[in-house]
Amino acid sequence: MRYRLHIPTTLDQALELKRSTGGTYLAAGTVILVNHSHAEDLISLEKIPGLKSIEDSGEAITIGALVTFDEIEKCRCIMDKLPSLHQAACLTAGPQIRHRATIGGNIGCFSPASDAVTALVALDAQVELYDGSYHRMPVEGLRELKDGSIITSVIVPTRFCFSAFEKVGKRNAMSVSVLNMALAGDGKLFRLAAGCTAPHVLFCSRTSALLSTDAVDMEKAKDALVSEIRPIDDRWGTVEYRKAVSRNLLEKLVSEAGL
Amino acid sequence: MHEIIGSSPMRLDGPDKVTGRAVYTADIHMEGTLEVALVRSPVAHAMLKGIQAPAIPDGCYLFTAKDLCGNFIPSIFSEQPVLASDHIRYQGEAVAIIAAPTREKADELASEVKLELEILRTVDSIEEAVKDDAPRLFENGNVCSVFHSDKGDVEGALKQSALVLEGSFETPVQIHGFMEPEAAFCCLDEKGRLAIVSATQNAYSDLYTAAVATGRQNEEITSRAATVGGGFGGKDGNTAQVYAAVVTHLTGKPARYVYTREENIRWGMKRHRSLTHARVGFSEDGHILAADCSMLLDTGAYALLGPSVLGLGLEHFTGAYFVPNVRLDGSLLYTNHAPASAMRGFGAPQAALAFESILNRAAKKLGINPLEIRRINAIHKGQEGPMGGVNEHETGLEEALEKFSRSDFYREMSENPEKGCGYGIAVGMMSSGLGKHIPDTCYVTIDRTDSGFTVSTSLVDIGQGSQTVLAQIAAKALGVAVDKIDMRMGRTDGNPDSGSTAASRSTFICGNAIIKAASEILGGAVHAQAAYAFPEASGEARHTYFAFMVQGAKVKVDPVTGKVDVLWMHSTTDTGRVINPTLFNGQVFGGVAMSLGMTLSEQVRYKDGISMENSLANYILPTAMDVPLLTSDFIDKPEPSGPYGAKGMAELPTVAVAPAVTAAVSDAVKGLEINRVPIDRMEILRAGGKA
Repeated sequence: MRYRLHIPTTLDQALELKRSTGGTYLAAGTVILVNHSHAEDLISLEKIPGLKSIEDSGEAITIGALVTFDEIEKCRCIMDKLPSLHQAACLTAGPQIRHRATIGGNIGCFSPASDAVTALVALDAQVELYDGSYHRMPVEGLRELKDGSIITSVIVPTRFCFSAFEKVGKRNAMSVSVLNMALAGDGKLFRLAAGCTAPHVLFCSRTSALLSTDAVDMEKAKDALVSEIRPIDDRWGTVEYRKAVSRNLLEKLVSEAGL
Repeated sequence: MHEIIGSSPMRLDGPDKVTGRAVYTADIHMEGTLEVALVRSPVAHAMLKGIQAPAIPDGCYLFTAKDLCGNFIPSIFSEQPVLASDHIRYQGEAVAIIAAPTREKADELASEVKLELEILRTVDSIEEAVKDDAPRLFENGNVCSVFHSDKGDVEGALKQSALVLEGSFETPVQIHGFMEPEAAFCCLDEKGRLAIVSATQNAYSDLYTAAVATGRQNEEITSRAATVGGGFGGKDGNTAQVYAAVVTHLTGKPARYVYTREENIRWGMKRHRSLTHARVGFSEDGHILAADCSMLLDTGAYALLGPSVLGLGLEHFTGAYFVPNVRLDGSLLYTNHAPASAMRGFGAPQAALAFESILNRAAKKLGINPLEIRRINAIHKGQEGPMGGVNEHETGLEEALEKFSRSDFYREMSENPEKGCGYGIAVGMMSSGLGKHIPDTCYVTIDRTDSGFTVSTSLVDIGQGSQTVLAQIAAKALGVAVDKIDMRMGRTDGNPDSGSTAASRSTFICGNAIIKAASEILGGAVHAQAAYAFPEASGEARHTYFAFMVQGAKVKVDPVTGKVDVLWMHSTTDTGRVINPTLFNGQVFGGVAMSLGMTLSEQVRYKDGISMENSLANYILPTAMDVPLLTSDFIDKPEPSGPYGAKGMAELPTVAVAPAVTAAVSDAVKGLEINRVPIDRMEILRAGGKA
């Protein structure tokens, strides 16, 4: 594998390199380098200042794109206020990879199996993008990075008094999810997200609506969930298994939420 | 001086390994070394009509079957070509060799070679291979070998049985999962000989294979093992060696071939997938009266050691018990998969899943404790084995069962089981020695030096620690401390052929040869060479030495996901006398972890002959987070013919793990019987009403 490595020190330099070389942004490289990307130009974001902090504004926690999973795992305010994201970070890969891999890189991979993205979608998080100016978009709707936009941070509201995350893997570490699910609730409204059930992490809107009613009908919610998700048979699991476990995990999360 | 036998001195290779000084094959560098890549078939079954090569730049090379002196790899049937020249039988089969200054360049050239192929229908499973209209891998069809043995009157005894249990079982294709992938280096030595250095279990086998392919005399080749990072059967026979040797022979330049992890997972040797069936008859008081057992194995495209695996699997089918009436039937089948061959346990784990599971179910149905049903059926010295030969050597299964019954594990299981957990027991039995009719002799040379003794043999320490154990035996035999012994292993040069590091044979056979040579040294010689041959079994039996292991599993099952967490595995072993308890435990714990992988998550699956698994991200080996509490003890019942009482045990810990775990899962999820591993979580969800 041969490539040119560019190391810009500002976001504008990075954008310019992206436009001139058509290269690929590189955060930690735990996906790009392992998958032997054929990218000829890699644009490292590592030396750009301002992408590595975690800030709690009271209403939201803003996590810089280059914050590592390991830092999320050890961050007190995330542990306290965003337990589902904390749990998702703890269950991602293994300690060595968590020490290197970043939240922005993880979002930018657009993996349907991302544990962190499932937690973020349920938490109604937004990403901040830079393409010459700053924009915000819900993580939920993000499918691609247009015009070389750079993810600079993810903004996670802390209004949910309940949040929980569940992961099903084939083993207890270094495991791609077979299914993952996150639930967040502010007492009235609940948001459910599921991974590995569609080409992207899915916000389960109909199920969320059913969970946000006064008297939750669990069977109806489970049926709604199974009709909402679109899993496939692959090397990790079958449609049948994913549907069965989706129902079971929903029940477990709802019972944890005390609904 | 403290007792050498039964103690655990520091392993001799330990310091080099923990400091990174140990030299593995891929570490060997020499100016001008060519890196090797293979042109591999993109499809699983085809006729090769032509090879279109790109322009090969100066300093790079392409070789095909036409460049070989002999185009077969010596093995039981020797039907595997070094390079396919007409019929391609598996995806990834080697068609041409590319050598270039870098692996990157070699890979690039390999990808530019175009193969003209006439695609054939793929035989993708055992089930397909046996069909009448299945495509044929060989002229004679897809049956590679068969095995049959009959003792007593099976049908008559089954009719008279109070309980007859029957079941069909399945185990997956498993890989060895060694840390170091297959690798070979070759150069010409100062005498112009081909000098092969490799990750190997058998230096002589590499020499013979290279001799066929290059047309050289055996004397014109030397072979030695580098430090080997695990073998488990997967480096017993040719992997990378012949390709590096051919390149050096044809170019005169050093050559190196190191498998990528994808090559290792897809095209390295495999454990045979199995379909087994058993009908077992019991008396009301739990005695096994008859067993009718069958086994089908997927050997992939070539036999390699498959016929022996089938024989050993069936010979071990009825396990550690005396069964008066036994029928054994089996077939080894060709499919369009990468070849399976030896893997630790060599057919016995596949058989044990069937027989031990049935035994556990019989115990439950008859209301007999699972240890007790094994005790009353335990085979004794002097009794006949399943094929009629008399079991002539020490058997300590009853003592092992007794010791197990006093363990903390069994106390918890029987008196104080943890709520929500399940417990299961199984017994493994494993032979040592290559088996009747296979040359099985070890040669050892001892030389007195100024500082002590050198002990030489062609046998290889593949990482299991045999050089430390053998040094202990030599030290004891010569009456010196272990640090006076300089072990020199794994070289053909200066050593006669002692065969493979396989069949749990090294400690027993090499230990005995060392003791024999040492007695000449003690008689005053400065140089002594001794040979020791494995004693042959009597009657129809293939093997005569067996070790035994009682294993208990404790599991917790998640009803939400169907996931099984194994919490504790306890093992009690009879392997005669344990020479080195630390290395013994290493074998036990490693073997248990290996078979936990097969039980819970490991498998290679094929679609149109192409493996779905191709990396360590999707071939699911257990991690440190998956391996449970492991405890181990042993009984001390010396085998008089073993070196200081020892019997071989390297493969034994893999045998009974799966049936112990599946029994524990059945204990946790009432009503569930598991006949297939890796365990399918859907079966658990269905049994718990959660699917």
